[in-house]
Amino acid sequence: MISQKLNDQITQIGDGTPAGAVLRRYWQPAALVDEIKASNGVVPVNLLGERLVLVTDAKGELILATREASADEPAVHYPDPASISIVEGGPSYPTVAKQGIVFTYMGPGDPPPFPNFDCFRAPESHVFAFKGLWECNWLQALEVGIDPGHASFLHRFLQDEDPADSYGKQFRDKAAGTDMPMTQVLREYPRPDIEVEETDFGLKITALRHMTNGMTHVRVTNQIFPQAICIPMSREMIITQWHVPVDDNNCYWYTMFTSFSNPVDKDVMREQRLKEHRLPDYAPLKNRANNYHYNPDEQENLTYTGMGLDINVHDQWAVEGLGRIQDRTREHLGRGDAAIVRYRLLLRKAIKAVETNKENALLMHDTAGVEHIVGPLSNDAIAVTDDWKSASWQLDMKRREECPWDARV
Amino acid sequence: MNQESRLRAHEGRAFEDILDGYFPLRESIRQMMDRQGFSRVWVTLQHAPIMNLKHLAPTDPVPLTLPKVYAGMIDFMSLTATQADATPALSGVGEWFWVDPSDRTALFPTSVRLGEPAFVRGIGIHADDLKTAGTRRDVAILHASASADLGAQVAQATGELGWTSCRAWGLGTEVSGVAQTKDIELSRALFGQGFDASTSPTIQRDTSSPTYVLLNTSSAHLNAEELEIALRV
Repeated sequence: MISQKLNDQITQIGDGTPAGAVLRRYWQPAALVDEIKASNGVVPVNLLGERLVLVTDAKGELILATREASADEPAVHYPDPASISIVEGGPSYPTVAKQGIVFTYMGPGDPPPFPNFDCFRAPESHVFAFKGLWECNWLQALEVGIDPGHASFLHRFLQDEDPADSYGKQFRDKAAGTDMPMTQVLREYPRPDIEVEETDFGLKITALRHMTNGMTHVRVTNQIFPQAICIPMSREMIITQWHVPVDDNNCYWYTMFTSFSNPVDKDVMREQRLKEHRLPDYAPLKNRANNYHYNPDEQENLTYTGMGLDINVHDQWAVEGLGRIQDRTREHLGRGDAAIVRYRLLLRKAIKAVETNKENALLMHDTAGVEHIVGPLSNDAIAVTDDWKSASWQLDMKRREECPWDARV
Repeated sequence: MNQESRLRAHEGRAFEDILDGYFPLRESIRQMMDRQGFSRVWVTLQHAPIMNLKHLAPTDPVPLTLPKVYAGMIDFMSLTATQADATPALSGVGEWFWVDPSDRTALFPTSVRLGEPAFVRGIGIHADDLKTAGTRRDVAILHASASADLGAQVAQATGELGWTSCRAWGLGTEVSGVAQTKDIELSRALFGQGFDASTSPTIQRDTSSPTYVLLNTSSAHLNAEELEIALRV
């Protein structure tokens, strides 16, 4: 329940806005490498309210240049690459391609180094990247991802699928070290205790679902400042996902799926996701215009939402349903929203740091230390309640020891 | 003047918690103290949205929508709360602003509510303090002399307590209610500065003895988790 002015402060991302100034001080995903291949090297990009194009400059480097655009161009507009003109003398930004995503830095001064997260350390064969459009503000898209409670309701499956058919799907594997499907854990224990710790990169969020037999399900997820999350997808894979503003009213999620065991089957992963999205703008085929393919029979028998088995659609509906920019003058957070409360504190601190020229206080701007930031631990485990912390850590260590690439921390 | 009144050790600890929003601030703090089992706390808030719904009784629920003229933000607030009866008394300093600047007041109005839950760090003294012999005492209250070197007094008190190091909080002056930081003389204020123990001669308190809260940060006394929180508060 904050004023419109305070809501504007943390949601608006245009040039000169407080939150926009924070986001511009971090590398931002701008496009998929897949998009470059598909468009002969000229990719229109709509990012942080700016109309840009990804091109190769005279030195052979990939840059993000400002492109000509009419004032009434739709927010998510993909002009024919052949028709794009660059604004001579307009802003242009450096880029770095990492693991299938082209990142750009749109802020002042030198960009901060990349931390040594698992998604960046893994070999290219073990990471797959994809993206999708959500028609809402970036902050509400992020906040659903750092709320550990929502999965027990929004992603509730009334029947458990065979985990053998779970490849590439969220919440469909067994919890690590058990034969219990994740869907059953989430369904039967819907009210987790939530612990939030501040870290070098943002927040470590632990959801504890105390079970009936002295055991506890431990799910560790992470908020990576300013607008990413790192969460477990299965025993094999983790998801690192950025929520990137197109403008104040639209955002893309960019996800890296990182495998700790076998190389990622990128063809399967891509095919699964292209069935749910159209090209070239990666807009979801299930959307507000078609009621997200809502099916009351499915809702009665199979899923909480009745919107299919892809949990991305559930999240999309939940965050788009709040309106383009969530009206937080009508919001009533509780202590169960601990991660959201802690995240907003980080964001407001960062806004203050930028406003007072104390940018060294920004997370991951200590250039000497950023490369030493590894991990983060991100897993599901079921452990003896008294020992959940070490059990979660040991499970992570075991996965890292068995990993074919160097995942040591 | 006896030594016990100058320096007293208490059962207590550093803590982190989330204050509920929407109640008057002191009610949110009372609930937190009750939840944690504290009789007295020192807490710090940062960047916490607030609202001053002047027409509401303290027990009234908040409306569904917040009119902008009632909104503001605590940039920083450091305060003590003592649970003498049903409603804790708050005193401290802070920096806060309102969307409507005409709402500015010298003291933080008691009717102000948090606009959303707020993360706090602090130090608490247990409600059953001193009832059990032999329990560890990691918090102390020091009445320091206003006319002597403050650092020397805190370091000396640290040694007397048998600690190797501590952190200390105190405004160095008496404040009634929660005042604007710029309105208070804070040259002898401490906001968590660290001190090592010393064995210099004890400096006695004098007639105007500001109060400081000392928190044990001796690695030999605290386990890793306790020490981590004590250093983070």
